[in-house]
Amino acid sequence: MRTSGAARTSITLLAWAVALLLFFPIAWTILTSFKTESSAIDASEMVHFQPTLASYSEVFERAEYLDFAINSVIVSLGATLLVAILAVPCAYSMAFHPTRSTRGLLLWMLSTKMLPPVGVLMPMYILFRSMDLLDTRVGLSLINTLVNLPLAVWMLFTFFKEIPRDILEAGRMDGAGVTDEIRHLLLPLALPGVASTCLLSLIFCWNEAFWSLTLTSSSAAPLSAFIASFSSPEGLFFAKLSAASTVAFAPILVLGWLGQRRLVRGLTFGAVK
Amino acid sequence: MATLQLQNVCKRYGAVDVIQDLSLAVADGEFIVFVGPSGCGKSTLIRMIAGLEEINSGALLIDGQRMNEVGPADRGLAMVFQSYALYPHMTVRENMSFALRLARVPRAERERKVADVARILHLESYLDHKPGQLSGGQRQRVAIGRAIVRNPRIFLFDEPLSNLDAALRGQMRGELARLHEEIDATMIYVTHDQVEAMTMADRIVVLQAGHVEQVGTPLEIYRRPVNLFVASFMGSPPMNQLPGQIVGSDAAGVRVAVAGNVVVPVAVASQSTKTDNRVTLGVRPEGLRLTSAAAKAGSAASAGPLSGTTHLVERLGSISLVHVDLDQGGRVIAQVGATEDVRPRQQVNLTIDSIHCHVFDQTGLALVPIS
Repeated sequence: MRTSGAARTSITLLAWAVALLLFFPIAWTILTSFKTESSAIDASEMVHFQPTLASYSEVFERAEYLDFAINSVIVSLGATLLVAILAVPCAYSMAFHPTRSTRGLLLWMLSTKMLPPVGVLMPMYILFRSMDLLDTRVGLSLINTLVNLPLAVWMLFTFFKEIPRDILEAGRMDGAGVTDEIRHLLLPLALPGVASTCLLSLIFCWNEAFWSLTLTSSSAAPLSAFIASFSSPEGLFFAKLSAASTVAFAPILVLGWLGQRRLVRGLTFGAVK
Repeated sequence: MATLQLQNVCKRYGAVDVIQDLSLAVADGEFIVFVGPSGCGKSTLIRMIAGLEEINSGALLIDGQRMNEVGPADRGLAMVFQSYALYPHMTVRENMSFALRLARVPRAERERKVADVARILHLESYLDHKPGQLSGGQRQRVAIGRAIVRNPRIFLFDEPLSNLDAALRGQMRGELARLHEEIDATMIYVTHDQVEAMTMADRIVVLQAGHVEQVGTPLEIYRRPVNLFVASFMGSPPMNQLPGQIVGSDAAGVRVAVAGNVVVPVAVASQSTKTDNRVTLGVRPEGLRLTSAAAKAGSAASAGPLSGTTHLVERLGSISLVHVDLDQGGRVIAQVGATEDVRPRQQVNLTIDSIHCHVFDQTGLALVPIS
């Protein structure tokens, strides 16, 4: 496709505009986190202000950031690991040994994502309570696994579909069992896809708030609960809230930035060859 | 080294019968070629032998043992795929030793076997390359090497040469034939290319719509096709077909009248007492000879003339193929010497060399030759 210079420039400008618009809240949060509470709400000090780490020290003083962060790391990694363990064999069998119901099953799995989570809040809460999973890392990992599984299966299915069948069949002729086939052939070949699926799952788990807030209180509470704890009890303290948010999203932001090439490929679902 | 038997095997996809009640025996050390048009079931058949497709009914025996329920790896077969199906993330060495690694063969032995095979296939200098860095012919050789390393009982080839260009294809045909000679293994080869079938096979199996049409040596298939399908599928250009009638028969054969009043004696047994049956006379392109426009009477071995107008002359170097529109209707192809002076839109006469003739009845079955 040939595009004229003017068209290309305007597309670039549009892309920048959209990117800035999307990044603005993040940038504003980071900016506000370095202000004092008074300058945070002072319009005259919107950009020109004396940067301070006061909010950060207060945030770290008041709550055990590390406890929340450790919970986030354990829950995100645990859930992502579980997702991978379940989704890889599932997507493998759907991609390479499909039955008549495979298509329908995939659509059904995706349809569960269309249900508002609050719709199953009550049954979930009761289940968790009766299984003693409330406010546990295991429980939160499980719910995150369930939430991310459909998307992960879909993504892996699409990636696996791109792997030539012949190669796996050659492996079977060479004596590879199903596990050898997945380990030595499928996973190395679909590595970019698997990596982006895991990365996406990790990000979703890290940012998950609804279930984290409703199913945990203290001992298993992740960083999303940490942020929330700064918003409610004492009115709105924007600088502290911003500082809390910044320390909560910083790790995943860095991770996402490092893995952005993979991520783009993951989000376009293998449509780009 | 192994024999293979197919006993009444069937394959169905839903309501579609892909392979119907097929039986075949392959002898030890034989080079068997399955040939047929696309969709005839030849690839399905080789995949059933490989264990990649289930056999719905019937039995597959290797060395007399039933293999239906045995997994692909444990049948002792190796397969070369049309797409080569090399492992793109492994080097040539790793590709060839993958099966040995899975079988937990010690490293030193693995290295030795790979080195041996690489020498046979002239791949020594490429052992540390990835498949992506190799040319089509080299990839093909790696795929064959991967099969040889396993020392299989039977080799399976699924259209292995169809992705190569013509020159390389010719060369690989030679190499495969040499390989067969050298390692003396049983080989089953699938192709839609009848030249590959004719040049490499000990025996050819002609398949159509899941049926075996004929099994025989290349020359048997060419000289004595059992029906019109085999006659027209094998041979390039295909056999000419002329509608005709049997006008007489005796101990020496039958006399077939084609194109009005040209009578050709063919040494085949008359199938019944009726001599007025409508038949098809099949004539190979080399069985048609151009004669001058002033035709003379045919000798005992030839009949004619047919007359017509040339509309295309294909000069292949050593021979020329002349396409002729017959005055009596229909179109035939004659194979003539390269030096023959013939041009398009020229009036020509053709004589039919009766030893290159075949007679097929209304159902397409060949009348049995008197030998």
